[in-house]
Amino acid sequence: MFNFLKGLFRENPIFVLALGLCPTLAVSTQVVNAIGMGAGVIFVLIGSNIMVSLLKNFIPDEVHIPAYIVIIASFVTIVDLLMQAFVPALSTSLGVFVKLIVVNCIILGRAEAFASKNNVKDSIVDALGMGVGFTVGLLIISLVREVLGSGTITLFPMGDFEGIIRIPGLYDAPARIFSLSPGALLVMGFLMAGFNWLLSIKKKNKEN
Amino acid sequence: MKNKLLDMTFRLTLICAAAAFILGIVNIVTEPVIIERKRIEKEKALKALSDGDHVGEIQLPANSDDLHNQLMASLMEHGVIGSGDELDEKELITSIYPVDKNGEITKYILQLEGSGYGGKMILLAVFSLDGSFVKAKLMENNETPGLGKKAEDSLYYNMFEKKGTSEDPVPVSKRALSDSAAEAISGSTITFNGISKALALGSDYVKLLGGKN
Repeated sequence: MFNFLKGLFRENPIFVLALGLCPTLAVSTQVVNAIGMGAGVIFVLIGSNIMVSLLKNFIPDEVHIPAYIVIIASFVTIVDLLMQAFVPALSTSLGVFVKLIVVNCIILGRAEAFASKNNVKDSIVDALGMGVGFTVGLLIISLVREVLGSGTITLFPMGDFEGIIRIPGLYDAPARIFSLSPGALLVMGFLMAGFNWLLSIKKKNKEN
Repeated sequence: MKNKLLDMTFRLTLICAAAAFILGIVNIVTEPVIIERKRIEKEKALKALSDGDHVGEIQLPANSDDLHNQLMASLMEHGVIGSGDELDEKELITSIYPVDKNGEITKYILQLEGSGYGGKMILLAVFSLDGSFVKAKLMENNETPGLGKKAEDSLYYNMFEKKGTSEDPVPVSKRALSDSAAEAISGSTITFNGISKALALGSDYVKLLGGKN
């Protein structure tokens, strides 16, 4: 349980470790992108953590980074091909950032720091915690940015629901800056500060 | 020492081979689905770009040597390529679709390849017989969301509208754009360069086709 929860709060990849910020800032313009990217990262994290943990005694130390990259790149390619085939709209929307999951520091970081030293079960729990922590972080940022910057919440279309919730008042007069790069940095900065403030209060309470 | 090196090489090769095998299986499953999806997307795009008129398909003309020289001269004149530079139009114009109304060709849709920030871009562009640009749709691309991806929006192409005639060529540099258009492409200049050069090539090519089927 500790391995799972640490990814959500104490070692949240976005707000505490500040890892994988490039795709975080780039794809957080819509909630649907955050869900897609989060799902992709969780899949790759779990897959690569399992493989690295299983092969930790087989992979020689001298070539462990190239070996990890081959494993991670394989899972990313699987995600990319599956997205292109079955969720093309999401694949188009995420564009090059799906392929760039290969160089996402969270994934290589967990393979190096955790999966290569722990058993498969713990590695899966760690991957789930980190992946969910990343997805939740991405969801919060994209929700703030999309609501303020476009006045919408974009989800997957289902049946009669076209997939877009329009927020009255904001849809007609959105604060466009939140959809743009400066808005991404602003939202990220404020949320990071808020998250660290909450963690510091929790820490103080524990000490008292 | 030698044995250790061989051992490392063997283990890494084994991991790569296993990865390649798994990716091969995934590719076998997804490839037909992706090809079919792209075919349907292209069909829909051609239908939308032709405004419902009949769309045919022609091959690049066989007597293309003469046409190639004329095209290079025209591209040089419009600043698309430098003096003495060459490009192979057969690699960059991959399909030609004449659009006809009652048997008479009214415009051409060209499938063009451009080079963007994320690599190859494929776009379908409509030109009138005089080479003037009508509209376009960016198909395959790996451009950056929020920046180069803006080229997927039909409004992006307003800056090229009716450009491409002999008097008013397709703008291929930021300087040739209005202030608002230049501002709109800031942050995605490489995408603009790739698209504008592909459209300029298409425009000059259509002019040389001269309405032939």
